[in-house]
Amino acid sequence: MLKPWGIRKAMKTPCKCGTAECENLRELLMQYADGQLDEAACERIRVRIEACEACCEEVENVLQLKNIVKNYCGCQGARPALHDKIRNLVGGLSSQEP
Amino acid sequence: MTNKERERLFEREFYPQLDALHNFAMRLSGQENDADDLVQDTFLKAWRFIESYQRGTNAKAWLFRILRNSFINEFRKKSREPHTTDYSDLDDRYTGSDEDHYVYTPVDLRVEVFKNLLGDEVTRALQALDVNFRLIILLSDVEEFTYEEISKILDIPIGTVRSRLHRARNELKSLLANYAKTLGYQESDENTL
Repeated sequence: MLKPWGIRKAMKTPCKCGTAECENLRELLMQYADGQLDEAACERIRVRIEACEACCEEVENVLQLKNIVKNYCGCQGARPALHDKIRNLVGGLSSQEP
Repeated sequence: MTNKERERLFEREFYPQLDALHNFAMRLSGQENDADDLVQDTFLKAWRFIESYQRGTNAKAWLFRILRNSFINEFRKKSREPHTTDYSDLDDRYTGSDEDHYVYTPVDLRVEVFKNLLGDEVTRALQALDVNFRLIILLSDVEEFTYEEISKILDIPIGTVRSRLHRARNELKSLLANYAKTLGYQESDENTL
């Protein structure tokens, strides 16, 4: 599992690649950060982000944003009264219908 | 399906999703009472249209799809949503043959800017997003649905999920950067994210 702030520290090679190539990879890097790639594709991305600072930053950026949204917009549970109300309404339908 | 079977299904698979549905509804509508109505409506529709639910499939995704449809098709007609843009044409452009024309403008936030952001600012930025962008970020980052599940909930191709999510996050980063700027947090050259 990726750690949002740990990737760049492990990077040894400064990036020498052109920005156009990095731009083309942005969506793929996002899919990597979202855990939506298969293992072979993940491995290719891992090699890439170890060699390219811009790509590494992009992945960190996505992970950071995901963490923030998850932390601040997490579960705001329903009031107990709503649970009761919905159960009563559904129970009413169940007893009315054949 | 008999009513007893329906009740068991609700108990086992649907009621456990009530809090997550309410959170989703709150983030969409911004109002507790509206969120309550949306969740209630979702459960009543789930009862009514239970035959269209395939047992063994993802109950949570099915319920989220119902709630999203209620919000888009019915609720927003009478709500105070200030402005909405139909992004479907743009999405198509980005996933179609004109994909190369998509000009991405990177927005980079800095570590210290992120650290100084408060929950209220994040919530406000999310609420300021176009509803289509807000929907996809909530489904991905709060509820952690896969792209495939999001594709089914929103009824859009997976390619559109990817491009819309990418653009939604960039828009959110822009809004957060603006909030940070108004609060006086300046970016520095160090700790770039």
